[in-house]
Amino acid sequence: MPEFYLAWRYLNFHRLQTAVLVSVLAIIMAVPALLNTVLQATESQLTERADATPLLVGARGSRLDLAMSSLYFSDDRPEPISMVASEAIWDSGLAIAIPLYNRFRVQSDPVIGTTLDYFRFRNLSVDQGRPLTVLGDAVVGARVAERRGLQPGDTMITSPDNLFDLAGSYPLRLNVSGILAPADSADDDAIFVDVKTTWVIEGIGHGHDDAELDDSGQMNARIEQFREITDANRDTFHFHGDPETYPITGVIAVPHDERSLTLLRGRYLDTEQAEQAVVPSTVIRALLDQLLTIKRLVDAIVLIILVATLVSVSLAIGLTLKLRQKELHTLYKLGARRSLTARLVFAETIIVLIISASIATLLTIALNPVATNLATRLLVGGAA
Amino acid sequence: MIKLEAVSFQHPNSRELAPFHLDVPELFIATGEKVAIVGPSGSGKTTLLNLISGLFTPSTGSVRVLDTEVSALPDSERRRFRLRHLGMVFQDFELLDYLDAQDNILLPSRINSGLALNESLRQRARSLAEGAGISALLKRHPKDLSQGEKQRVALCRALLPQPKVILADEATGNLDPTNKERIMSLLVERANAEEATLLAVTHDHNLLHWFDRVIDFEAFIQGGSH
Repeated sequence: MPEFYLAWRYLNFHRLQTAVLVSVLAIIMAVPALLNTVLQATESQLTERADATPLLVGARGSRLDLAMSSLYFSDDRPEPISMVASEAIWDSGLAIAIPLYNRFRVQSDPVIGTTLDYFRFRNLSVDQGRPLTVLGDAVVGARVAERRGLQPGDTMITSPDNLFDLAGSYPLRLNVSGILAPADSADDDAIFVDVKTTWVIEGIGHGHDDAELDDSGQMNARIEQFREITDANRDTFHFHGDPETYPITGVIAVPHDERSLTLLRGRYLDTEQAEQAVVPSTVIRALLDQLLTIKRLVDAIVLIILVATLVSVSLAIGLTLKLRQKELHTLYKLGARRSLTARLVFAETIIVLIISASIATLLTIALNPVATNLATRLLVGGAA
Repeated sequence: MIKLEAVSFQHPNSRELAPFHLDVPELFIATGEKVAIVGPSGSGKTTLLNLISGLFTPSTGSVRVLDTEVSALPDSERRRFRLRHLGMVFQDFELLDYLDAQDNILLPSRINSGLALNESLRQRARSLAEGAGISALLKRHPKDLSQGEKQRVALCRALLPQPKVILADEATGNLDPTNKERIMSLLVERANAEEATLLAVTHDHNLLHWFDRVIDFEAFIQGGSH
């Protein structure tokens, strides 16, 4: 097989141009594979969680925002509803209601206010420390803990809503009570607190020193609110207003059976009603259908690029052969068959394709973990 | 032995603009003879070498080399004959830039399955390189070699299959006087050692003392047999 020997030596000698050619081909080969991986992983992640969540109740409006906010804790949040919606589901006796309040962040990580039912529903277990017990406790998802190097006993401060909004929420120092075991889901990237703690961040609940009379016998107006809930001040925290009006962004409803599900959905059919009920799997499948359309578009673009590249490579090989006429004639004069030219081109093409395909495979394997989470992260605004 | 009889050749690519025509009534070169061909450019010296090597086939007449009528062989047989019995040296060396000196010497054996690339052939390549004074340069690529060194590599490549006929086309044309003498010395020495026939085209009259016979090609083709 002299053609493969000569082809290899030629490609090896002209390393730079070979490297450029191989890189271009490897990227073009890897892109569709990576895209496919991204979409398959996204589909799997999105549908798995959606299928595991029977019903969501939230403010009437975007069904997608409600699903993405409640399942993947995305930045696109629906309008808040009041806690009475959750109570109503409990009172119906048709389902377990798990309230969710997704509004606050610790930097980019979502702080989710919920109840202990959420952990049972998602089969989440505490790997280190203890579960949520008192106001101000936070249980941290595995990836958040790893990223931030958090341990039980550490603290973290919530990010303010808006630095220029004096009436907005103020930072609250949260106490890390536990770290969740990895669940390979959006829960790994979230910080969970009791829903009451989120109302404290919201400013509905607060704690402060008792007001005292000053020397003149008047009440002192300088009452400082606590920005951290400690054993010493916990008892001073209290809430104002009717608890049923406190905000949440959604409710996960877990019906007792199929009939309960149907009955519960029926309660939200009235379009005049403030809340809607959404079956997450339906919403997510509609989203995936759109993604599939985008994938087809990207596939078509990649195909066009591939054809253009192959034409360019063919032209480059043709031009190279022109420039190598003398070399090829030398080979003939030294006794090579005339067919060696064609075999040489074939061998060079095969070697380049094999190297490109190998690099594309390694690239796909190496980028697979990144690609797996990429689309979901893009879809949910960095909180997946 | 090389024998040409009533050979006529018209270059296939030159019919339209500048027709090239060569007639060689008769030419005989005995086995082991060292012959120089001199003459002006365009007189057909290189064409003559190509006819003898089988790269060109005559329009009429016959070309016999080592008792084989090369001109009557089909292309594949001519290729095989060239490979087994002829060694060719070119003015511009015709080394492959992407192979090192050793692989350039071994190239004819690599590209032809008929020539087994075995250890004895490799040993012969090393021995030829040593004789040519380039054994230390075998891992260098042509771009790292001087003109004289390149021609010595090309010479080793031509001599590797122990050819019975050596055809040299302006083999010293690109060399300085010192290297010209060195290459000619090497060429004649190896031809003597292998009892090979040497036919060399040259423009350099200072090198003619190396040859048994000199043919002035222009006078030759005008005057008939030689």
